[in-house]
Amino acid sequence: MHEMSVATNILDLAEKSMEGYRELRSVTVQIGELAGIETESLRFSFEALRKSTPYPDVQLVIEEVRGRGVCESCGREVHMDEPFALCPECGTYSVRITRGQELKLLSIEVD
Amino acid sequence: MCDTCGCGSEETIIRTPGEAREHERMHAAGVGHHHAHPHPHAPEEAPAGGETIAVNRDVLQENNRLAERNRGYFQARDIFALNLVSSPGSGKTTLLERTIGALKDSLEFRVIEGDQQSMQDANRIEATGVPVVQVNTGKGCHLDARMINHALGKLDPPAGSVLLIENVGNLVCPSLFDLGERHKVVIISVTEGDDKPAKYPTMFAASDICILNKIDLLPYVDFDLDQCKEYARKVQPNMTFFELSSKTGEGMDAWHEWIRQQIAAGR
Repeated sequence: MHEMSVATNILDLAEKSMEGYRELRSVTVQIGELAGIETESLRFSFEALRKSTPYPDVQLVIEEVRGRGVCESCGREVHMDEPFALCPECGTYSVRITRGQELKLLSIEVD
Repeated sequence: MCDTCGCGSEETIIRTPGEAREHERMHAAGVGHHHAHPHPHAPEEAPAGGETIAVNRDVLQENNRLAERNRGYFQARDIFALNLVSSPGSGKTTLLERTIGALKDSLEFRVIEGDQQSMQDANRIEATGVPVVQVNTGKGCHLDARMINHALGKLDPPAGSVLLIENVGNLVCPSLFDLGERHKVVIISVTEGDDKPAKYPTMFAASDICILNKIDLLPYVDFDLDQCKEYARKVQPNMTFFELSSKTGEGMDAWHEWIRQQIAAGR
């Protein structure tokens, strides 16, 4: 359940980014398919944590990013739902991840 | 967690075996103490009106920043740090004991032990004569760079030493948290499935050294070493493997030699 510490980090980072505003309405995060995060687990952790913050109603918005890779042998672009993939073109496992490892706080909505 | 007052149930505790006994003695003598309960507060003065603020920051940036600080500390002191990760029961602590036993005459070791609870592992390492700090993560499922940062303050590893960090037994969560180590070493024992690298690819992708432990048990289990390596190479093509038994000592020489070579190469 590293999603619990990820949720803690999201809330900490959001709070540090509030620039003097009093109310935190929502946080928008970008999570890649290959970031090693279970989004359901993250929602659950966030739900549990927000109650003990000064912003018990803060919403979590998740923007998912599909995993992409490029084969280093033949240059073919491949969808990746695991951190490794068999290239359908040349049959090797030399696919390098190009997208999908994002774990970012994109923005916060404040009042 | 302290068995007397339960402190640490919510927070991380970092202590040496000697300190742990001191803490228990203090409670036995009826001496209490306070624990900090930090929590965030809303700022006093706030501007009016709603707004969206763009942040665009890595969620784990604080951990990554502290990991880089640890890495700088290791470089400045010429410390060779390894982060050992595996599921519970793969034989990490025994591997540490045997590695230390074989090399401690020629190399200076320091150990950081990570577990949710107890001083069991730290006590085992202390028995080898090597200074050790135990990090009890409470409910936490992994070590993070801040815990290592604090443990280093206590451990004060000397220049040129080897720092072995035994992470919490967990093949998922520690993969995301850089501690500042030179290598992440993933350990898998042959009593587990040879498909572990396929089931937990994130950890195998994050590691570049893989130890296949308990090979003395191979005749009794259905574990295919080549199959396991093939799975691991799919996620980490540059994986270096060691097949060994820390119990019988088989294959340990190659592992010890690798440590010596890495240290020699780093100087």
